[in-house]
Order: sequence, then structure tokens, then C-alpha cells
Amino acid sequence: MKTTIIALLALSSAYAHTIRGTAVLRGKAEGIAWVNGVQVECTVKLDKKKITNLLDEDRFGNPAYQVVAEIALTSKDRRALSLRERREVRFINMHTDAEGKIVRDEAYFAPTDRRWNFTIDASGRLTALFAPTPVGNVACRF
Amino acid sequence: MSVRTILAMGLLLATTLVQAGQTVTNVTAVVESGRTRRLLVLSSVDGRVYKAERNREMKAYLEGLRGLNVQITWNQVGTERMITAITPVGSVSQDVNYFMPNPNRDLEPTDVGTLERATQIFNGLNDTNKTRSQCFKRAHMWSYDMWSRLNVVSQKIYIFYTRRYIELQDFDWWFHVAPVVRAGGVDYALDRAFTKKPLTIREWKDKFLNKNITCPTITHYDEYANNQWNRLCYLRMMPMWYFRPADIRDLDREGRVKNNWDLAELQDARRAFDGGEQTYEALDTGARTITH
Repeated sequence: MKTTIIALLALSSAYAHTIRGTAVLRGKAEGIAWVNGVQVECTVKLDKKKITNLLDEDRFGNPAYQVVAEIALTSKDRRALSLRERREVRFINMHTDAEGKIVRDEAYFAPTDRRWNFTIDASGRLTALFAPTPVGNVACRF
Repeated sequence: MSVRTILAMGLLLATTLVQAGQTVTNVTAVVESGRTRRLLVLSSVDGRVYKAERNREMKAYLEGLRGLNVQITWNQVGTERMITAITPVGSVSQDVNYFMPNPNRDLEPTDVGTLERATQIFNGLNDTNKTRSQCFKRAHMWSYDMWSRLNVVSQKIYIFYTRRYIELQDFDWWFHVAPVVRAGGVDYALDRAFTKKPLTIREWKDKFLNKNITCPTITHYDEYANNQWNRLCYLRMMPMWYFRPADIRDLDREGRVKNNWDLAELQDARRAFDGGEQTYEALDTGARTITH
């Protein structure tokens, strides 16, 4: 039984992982988040020229993307929560698991601070952004 | 004076005879040289141009042989093969017309032996101005030259770039192609417009795409056409006869096999080289060239 399980695990890990290759849609996405009971507006701009191929592949030969996003996070009530953050962040969808590099269609993170991450749906639309800020973690929904 | 008499008299040879021989072939084209007083006979069995002195009787006689199987008796004078006799031979059992399809023709790529020999062949390919010509025309003429001059059956290697690569990298080409020769069992791309020596397929690919990117080798055109976003590129090896990517598509989707040279394509492809129309005078259909 143990041997069978090990064999099945080995087989499943060796099985090719194929991506769809969905690209992030360009444009501007606006969403909201709540931090300590205060609403935060999230704006993400994705410029066509800043969505490119990383020119690197995972262990299955799947190519990864890199995206430089302009992110603005602003609290609605500045007295209750002082948040006015604007920055450009570079994200990639080349992850690492126990076996090595693996590209994921829907999940991106910032290599400089892996806590920054976003997700997209199957059509490339931005669905969520997670941003750690000095005033707290911002989890935006779009 | 009859044509037979003319032929019997032979040609006035100005230089020393080096070699003589006979070739059974099919007359693909007869062209009047614009540069010399010669008639050019394009031979289908070897792609060579056999030449005769130009006069009205000879021209009429040779044009009457167009499309027929013939035996050519020739003398080699310098680099030219001069016809001393040419006579129809009727049907022949061997495969003599490489300008026509043959369902039984399936030539294995020639193994030229060593990398040194492949390098010699590379260095002998026409040099070219890559801003003037398109890669598929260069590749076709180089393949044809290797076959007609050296009796080397080559292949072609294509890189197909996907929409993802073209759009996101703001890239201008959708494919690139170069001839390939085999040497010691290893395939080398001979891309004289872009490289200084024969390169393995991997080295050649790395010349055009980041080393970290692998391009899967495909066996059907639709593997490329239907997978434009989950890969950046694909490689496809093809026999030397296939001129354009559309030929590959037609093979894979409609079963249109090519195993012959096409004179109109060669006339088109010769423009890859400066002065190609003059150098390859015999590759002329008499019709306008298809593309520029």
C-alpha cells in the first residue's frame, strides 16, 4: 500500500502541468478593501507596455509573465486611517514549489516582497490584490 | 544544316576539357541567356544548367524537348557543362524529374559526415544582404544550391513565434527559417545571413530567443496555430521542398505533400540574392515573379 501511494505521488508530480497562458487584461481596475473598519479605495493600472513575458520557464516548459502595476491605495477617512499609497510594483507568476519552478495562470506575486500579490480570473480580469502597508494589510476585491 | 549535324559538329571549346559525361534527365526549362550567347537547359534530375550555343535551329530543337526525358552528353568546360548531344529517350525507370511530384519519392537527408564538411558547405553558400531578402527565400535557394551543386538533400528548420511573444515583446516576425544539414548524425542550421558558422538547432534557436525559453518541436501546424498563449515559440523540421509556412499548413491540414522543386517558387526565391535574376537565369518561367 505504502509503495502504491509513493508511486502514485511520484506519478502525479511527474505529470505535466500545462497552463492556459492567460494574460492579465490591461486597463484600470477599481476595488475596495476594509482596514480596521475604514474603507480603502484600491486602483490598479495595467499598462499594455508593462505586461511582458518574463522570458523564463518553469520545469514543464511553461513561460511566465511579468507585470508592472501602478497601485494606489487611499483610505476614505484619512483621520481614522492615514493611508495614501502610490507605487509601481513588479509582479510575476513564476512560483516555486517543492519540486522547483512552476507557473500559475491566476496567481502573481512581487519578487521583492512576496506578501504583495494579486489574482486574476480565467479571462485575465483582476479579482483580488493583497498589499501590506504600514497601517495594516489591505485585501482588495475587484 | 540539320540539328543532328550541328550537334555532331559539337561546340567550339575555348578551354581545356576537364570532364565529360552523360545525364538522363527531363528538360524542365529552356531559357535564352541574357548575358551570353548560350541557351540554358534546366535539368530536372540534378537542377544543373546545361548549355548550348545559341542559334535558331538549336533553340527550336531544345524547346521541342521541354518536358521530355532526354539523354544529355556533355563536356565540362571550366564550371560550365556544354551539351554535345541531346536526344529524347522516352520513358525511364529511374526518378529523373525532381520538378514534378512523385508519390514514391522520400529522400533521406544526406549526412555530410563531419562538422568541417558542413562548415565548408556553409562557407560556399551565397552571401546575402538580409535587409534585401526574406528568410524563406534565402533558405529555399540555399537548399536548392546544396542539392543541385553538391547533391546534398537538406532539411529546413522553422521557428514559429506565438502571438503571445509577438504582441508582448513587440516583435516583428512570426517565423524564421534556415536550411539544415546533417553531419555525423547531428543536425546543423546553416543560416549564413545571421551566423558565422553552422549551429546546432539549439544554438540556432538561442540566437533568436532567450536561452531560458524552450521551443517545443511540433509535428502538426495546428499545434502552433491552436496554442498561441501557453508557449512563446515552436520548432518544426521540414523537408527541403517546402517553401512557405502555408505549405506546411497545407500539408498538415489537407495532406498536400511536396517532394519536388517548383520553378515558380525558385524564380521567386532567387531574388534573395543580389543579381539573382542574372545568376540564376535558368530559373525563369517567363512569367512575372509572384512576390518581392
